[in-house]
Amino acid sequence: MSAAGEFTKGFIKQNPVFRIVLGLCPTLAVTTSLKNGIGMGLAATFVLVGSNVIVSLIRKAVPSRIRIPCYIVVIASFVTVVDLVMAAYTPQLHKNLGIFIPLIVVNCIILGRAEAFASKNSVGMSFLDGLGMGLGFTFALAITASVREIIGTGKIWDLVVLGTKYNPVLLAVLSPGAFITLGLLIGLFNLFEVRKEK
Amino acid sequence: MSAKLTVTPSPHIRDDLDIKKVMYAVVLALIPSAIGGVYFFGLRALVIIVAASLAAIATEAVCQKAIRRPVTISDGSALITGILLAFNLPPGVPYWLPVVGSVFAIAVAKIPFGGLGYNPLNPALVGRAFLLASWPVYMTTTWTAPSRGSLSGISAITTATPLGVFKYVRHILDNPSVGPDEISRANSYLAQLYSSASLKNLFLGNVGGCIGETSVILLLIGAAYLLIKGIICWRIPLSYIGTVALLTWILGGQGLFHGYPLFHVLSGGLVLGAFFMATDMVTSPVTPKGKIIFGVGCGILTSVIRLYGGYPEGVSYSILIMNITVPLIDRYTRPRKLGEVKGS
Amino acid sequence: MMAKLVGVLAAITFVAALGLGFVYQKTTPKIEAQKRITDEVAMRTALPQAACGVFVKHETDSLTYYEGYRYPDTTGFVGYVVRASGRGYSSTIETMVGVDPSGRITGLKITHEQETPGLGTRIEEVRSTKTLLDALKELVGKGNPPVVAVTIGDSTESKCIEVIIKEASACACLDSLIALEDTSKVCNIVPRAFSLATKDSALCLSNPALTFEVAKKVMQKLREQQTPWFLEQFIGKSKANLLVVAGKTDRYIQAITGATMSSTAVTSSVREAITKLERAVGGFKEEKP
Repeated sequence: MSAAGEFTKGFIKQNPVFRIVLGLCPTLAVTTSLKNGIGMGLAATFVLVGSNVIVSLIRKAVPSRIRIPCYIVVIASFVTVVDLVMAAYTPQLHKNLGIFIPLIVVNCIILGRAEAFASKNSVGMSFLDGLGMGLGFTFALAITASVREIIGTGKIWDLVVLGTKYNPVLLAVLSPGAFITLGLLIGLFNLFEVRKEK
Repeated sequence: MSAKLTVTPSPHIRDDLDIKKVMYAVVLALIPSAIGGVYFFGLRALVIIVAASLAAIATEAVCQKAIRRPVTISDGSALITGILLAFNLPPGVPYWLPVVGSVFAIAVAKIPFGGLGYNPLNPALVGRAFLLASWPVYMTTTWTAPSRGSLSGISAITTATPLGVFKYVRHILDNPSVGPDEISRANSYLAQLYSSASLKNLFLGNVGGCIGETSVILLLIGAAYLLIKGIICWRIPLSYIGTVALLTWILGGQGLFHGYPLFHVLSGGLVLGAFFMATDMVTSPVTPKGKIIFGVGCGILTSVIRLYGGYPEGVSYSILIMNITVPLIDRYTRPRKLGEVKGS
Repeated sequence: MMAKLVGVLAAITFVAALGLGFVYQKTTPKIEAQKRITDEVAMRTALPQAACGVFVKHETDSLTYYEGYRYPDTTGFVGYVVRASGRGYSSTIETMVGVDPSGRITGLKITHEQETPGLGTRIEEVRSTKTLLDALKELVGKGNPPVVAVTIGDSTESKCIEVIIKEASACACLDSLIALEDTSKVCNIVPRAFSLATKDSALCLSNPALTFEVAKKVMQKLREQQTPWFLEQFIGKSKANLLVVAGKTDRYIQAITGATMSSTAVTSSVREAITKLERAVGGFKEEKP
């Protein structure tokens, strides 16, 4: 696949959330507002790019028997870096995302890309793959979060869009709303793909 | 597909009873309570019932047209969903609320799963749960007092339903640090709730609550009709109500065995839920043993929510939670075939 | 073979540890400074009457609390601040609670929580009323300009505004400045309350009236958004009314939908803390009717 292909595949064709259905825990939990969704997406992107590059760099040195612990050490280090940096420089976002930042460690997308891609490809390609997948993840979070925030609060990015008379459907920002919204969005994506294939 | 080979979902019973007859018998059984609701809460109640029913029927028709399936609104199941949803709403809700609830009930909880017979959850209750989660203010504060009575069924309080008062009393008694004045007031409320005047109000329906749940006597009339016709069976309602009575007696007071079960049986949506919603054929177990397990499970959950949960009433959530367990219950209570060896 | 496995893993761990140590060293002072500010702001938000005064720490066997004074010379006793903490849904929620001498809550601020985003964290959610249209208009410069833009004139002025805006999170202090209605004190208090450098305080001092006006306007803007609606319910209540109920109520605390555990944690920990405080200070003064 071309470099451009490696980069763009994460957006639609192999979108980690809508197509591969990975990393659902943060997707369901933090998409209550666009701000949180994008913050989480970018944090995960940083970790993904970082871990992909390092894993690709050390891929020849790491014996396959201990590759998983090695990858986890790399990923956990990047997550800790993100956690500390966010606590120091963006305390409000850090507060909003709460426990989900440390939980990026166990986000299957990151270990998934390390195992499926970075451990077999060059540094440059791994970088592009991580960036594309990360931004695809961010994009999915942003869409889900926008739908939920608009329906559930009548606002987007804390700005009122549906007028002050709108009586928000609170369910949309509660956990069942996350499942329902994500289910419908995945359905839409599938419909879209099916139509395209025909 | 040939009509002769159509296998409908369970239960498979040989009778002249068909879906339509069952559904309209249930509608008939709900009519006394509907009239009671209108009598107690005024024409508002009627508008809400009609709005919810029409919205449910219209949504079913639109959805079935949209996915190009045969339109089955005449079977009466959407009508029942609408009526039951309206029965589960406070009389003071704005008129758009029942409409939105019905649309959600049909379009999210019923059609996507395959329509009647395939929905794992009772659509009316999903509608109610959706409304309660989305607009808690309307769903928990728009109570209206019945035309000839007070909201709580006792004269001291006019701002809460009987179960609301009960929850408040428990809150106070569990938190003695609030001070002696509050505690003695709470105790006097409790005594009034358990008085015979209050129980009579609960039995007749002369208290605040959801449109169709307040009058126990009218609900029992409808339920008796369905029991005689053999449309519902006694197992679920009896085990459900019995469990609630037992648990609220044991755990409902300060200290064990100091509860007052009669109050809990008569108040809230228990009778409506036990006879009309927990017995829904599609979402309750088929086997006799399963029905008992289902009823007991509902009873435990309702008691736990009423006594320890955040909400004053737990009937709808209990039935919904038990709905999810139905396939499992049916699987484990499946009668053994003749000669089948256990564990095979 | 074994030696190679151990060696590789050890090397990776070593490099990771080095990197983390470096980042930790760089960020720790920043994080600690933020924590200090959070605590300081929380205390002054909880007891706004003492926002520019001083707090005196008291320790008993079971409780640490602060007495708040309106003026820096420990005169004008206005109430207490006590720390409450309760187990929420996914974290311990820590709160600073201000209580006036009669036992009524004057304010509270969450200092730590890690509840579920969108549910429990909504205990800190503030109401916002600005519309997307407003924001777009502001962006293209056609709407009502934000309050800051109006007042920027000469350099002194803008520096003052900058100073106030920079510390806008400590708005409780400004609130009290305005309550004092004493312009001359304002500029003495601003720098100390916010621990500003002498250069900045000199700028504020050179134009007290303006500083006061600017403070007032900024404050007004901020106040509209500052108190989370959940916490707002506590203000003015005594501990008897600290019970969580579902649904809207003036008498008790309305729980956040979907976050009953977080709501209860805050409410019951605050009630507990006030009860302890009452015991520690030998009872509150009954309010005269």
